[in-house]
Amino acid sequence: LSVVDDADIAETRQSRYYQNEIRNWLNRHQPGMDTFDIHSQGDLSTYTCPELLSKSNNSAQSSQQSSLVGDRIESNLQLTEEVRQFREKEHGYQQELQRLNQKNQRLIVEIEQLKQLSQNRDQVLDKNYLLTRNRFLNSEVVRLSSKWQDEQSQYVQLSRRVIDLEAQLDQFKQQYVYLLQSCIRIPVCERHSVELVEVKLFGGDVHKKRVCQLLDEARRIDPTLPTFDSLTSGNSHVDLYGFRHSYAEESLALHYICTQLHQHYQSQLTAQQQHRHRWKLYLAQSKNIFINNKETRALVRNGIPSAYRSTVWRCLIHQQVVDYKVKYGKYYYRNLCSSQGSADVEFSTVHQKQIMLDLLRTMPNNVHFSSPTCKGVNQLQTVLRAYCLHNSTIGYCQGMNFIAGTCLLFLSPEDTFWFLVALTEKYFVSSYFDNSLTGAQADQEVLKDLVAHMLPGLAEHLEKCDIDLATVTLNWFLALFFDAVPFQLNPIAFNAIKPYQTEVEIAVQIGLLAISEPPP
Amino acid sequence: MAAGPYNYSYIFKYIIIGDMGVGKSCLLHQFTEKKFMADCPHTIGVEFGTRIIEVSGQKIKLQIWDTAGQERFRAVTRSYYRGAAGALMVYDITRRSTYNHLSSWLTDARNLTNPNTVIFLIGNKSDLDAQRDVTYEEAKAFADENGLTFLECSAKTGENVEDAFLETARKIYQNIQDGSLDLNQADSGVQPKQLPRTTPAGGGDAKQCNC
Ligand SMILES: Nc1nc2c(ncn2[C@@H]2O[C@H](COP(=O)(O)OP(=O)(O)OP(=O)(O)O)[C@@H](O)[C@H]2O)c(=O)[nH]1
Ligand SMILES: [Mg+2]
Repeated sequence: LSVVDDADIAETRQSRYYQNEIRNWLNRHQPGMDTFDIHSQGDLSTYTCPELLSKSNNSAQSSQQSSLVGDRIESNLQLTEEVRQFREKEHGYQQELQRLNQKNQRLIVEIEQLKQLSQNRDQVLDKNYLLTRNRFLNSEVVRLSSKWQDEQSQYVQLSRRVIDLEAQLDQFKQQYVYLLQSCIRIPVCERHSVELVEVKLFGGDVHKKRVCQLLDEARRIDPTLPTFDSLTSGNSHVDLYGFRHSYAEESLALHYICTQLHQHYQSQLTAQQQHRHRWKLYLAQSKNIFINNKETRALVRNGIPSAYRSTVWRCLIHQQVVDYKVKYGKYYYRNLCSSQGSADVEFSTVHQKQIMLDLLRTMPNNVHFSSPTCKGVNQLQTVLRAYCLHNSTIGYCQGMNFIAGTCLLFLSPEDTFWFLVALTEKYFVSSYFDNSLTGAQADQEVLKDLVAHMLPGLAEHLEKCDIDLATVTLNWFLALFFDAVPFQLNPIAFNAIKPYQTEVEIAVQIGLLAISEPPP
Repeated sequence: MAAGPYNYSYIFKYIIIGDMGVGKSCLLHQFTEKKFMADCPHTIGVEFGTRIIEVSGQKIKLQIWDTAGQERFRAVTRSYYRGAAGALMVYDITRRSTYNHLSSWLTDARNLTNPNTVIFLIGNKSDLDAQRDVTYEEAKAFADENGLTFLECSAKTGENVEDAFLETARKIYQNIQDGSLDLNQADSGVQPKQLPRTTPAGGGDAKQCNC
């Protein structure tokens, strides 16, 4: 529209310009004709000059005047001619103007139309396009969402299956390592002594590869597990308790790994985790005072989690000897340690020498007990010496060193000392470790009777071989199963015994022996 | 069993006695495994080992009982003397006290075994000559006095270990040959393989124990 405006303005300007031209011209030629008004007169063709007409009519007589008039007429005619030309010109312009105006108008309309058209077209296009597109998209959404739902339910199913399979796999792993673990045997071969064991695994290195793979996985969770190399390369693997493990034979190393893996898998079970949790709650609740009730027994029987073992042992020991501690005073153990010896010098030197002989023969394969300078060895010596000073009637009995050594892996020397006291003076009758091991021997007879009664097959077999059951079981009693069961199990046996009495020990023995009972 | 590769004619029962830490278990291990077991916990009660040897072309299975040396375990180990054909009495040449106790061990051995039991005296740890506390001559004199065979051995190097065990077996075998050892006696410590002691009357299918 602005274009049209501009054209309009330009045209108006042009017409003004011509009007001014005309006025100037008139002024130049008829300076007196001021009254001449183009606008009021309108068309110049109708213009008459009354003054001129009357003048020519009135002065026709005079020749002079006539020549003047002639001149005037002449110029008048010229003017008229000029006016006419102008008028034509102007007319042309006006026509031109009109034409342009019309053109302008047309363009405006056209633009208007185009505008509308384009608007309409947009609208029409949009609507249809969007409608179809929408419809398509909607259907797509519906399709995908149903597909998604399908996938979702399939996913749920699959993930359930994955969980099932994983559980199954875990179980298989556990059973697999347990199976390999069970492959150990003592060959009944005349050449060898009984300590020799062998593990036969068939299938080339299939098992080695598999076990190592499982081990790698497990080590990501528990880095304290051994590596295959550390067990076989000569420089041994040291376990959690400080025991060295080194194997000349690969199969035996694999066997050991399997025992460790089995234990690891066991500890990962939810039942175990719940068990640990129950212990945590129990300890918080009981404020470290244990009452011999059903709950305590059930918890102890299922094993004390290693994280709480020290605490629980300490408390159980303390409970047993709390009256002694009151009687002897707070510094009793410390005083014993710094004491110069008992009155009976010979007695104490004999015991001292015997203790010295056994210090390095207690846990030679444990890093805490393997050389005279080890902390464990020194502590062991202090504890055993203190015990001899405390109870000179019993003194040092071989077996105490195993018990004390095991305790020292978890407890302070003082607690260990009190455990020896509790064990020899509370749990067992005092004759148990005495100079002729009367109590221990009596228990062997009790056990023999029980075995004859409960495991007749085994009793008969031993009888036939002329082997006294005590050959096997005496040290189980005296050293609390120290070398009878794998060390990992040993603390469990310890645990089981603590809150009870000798009966438990006998029960454990029968349980162990029952494994050897031939099937009926 | 009769034609098995480890067939043998006799079982000889041995006991090893002596003070704590003289090296009884190491001697047994050296004899059965031909290895020195440096890291070995002490013995509680009794331990057990076997090996088959050959004497005069006869295969003999040695059944060896290794006892705990601590005094108070004697109450337990005494029951193992009964029926021992051979007794190895060990002391430690670097510790005189272990030598001094020999008479007490010998008394036990004499009282608790049968008169034909062969008692062999071993002075162990002969590799530790620098720390020697008991001379060879002194011990030899003691052995002669008491009618014992004597050798100094080392469970560590294996020196004379084989000889001590074999010599004892030879003496027992000789006793069998010359009839001084009565095989029918229950506590002879020698068990002929062919005559299992617990064969039920008329029971030809008696199971042979493998120990
Ligand atoms: N140098 C050296 N050391 C030995 C020898 N025999 C044994 N030992 C060491 O002496 C110590 C005692 O050996 P053991 O075989 O356990 O002694 P034991 O007589 O069985 O002792 P108990 O079982 O307590 O009666 C160990 O530390 C052995 O390493 C030997 O021939 N030479
Ligand atoms: Mg021993």
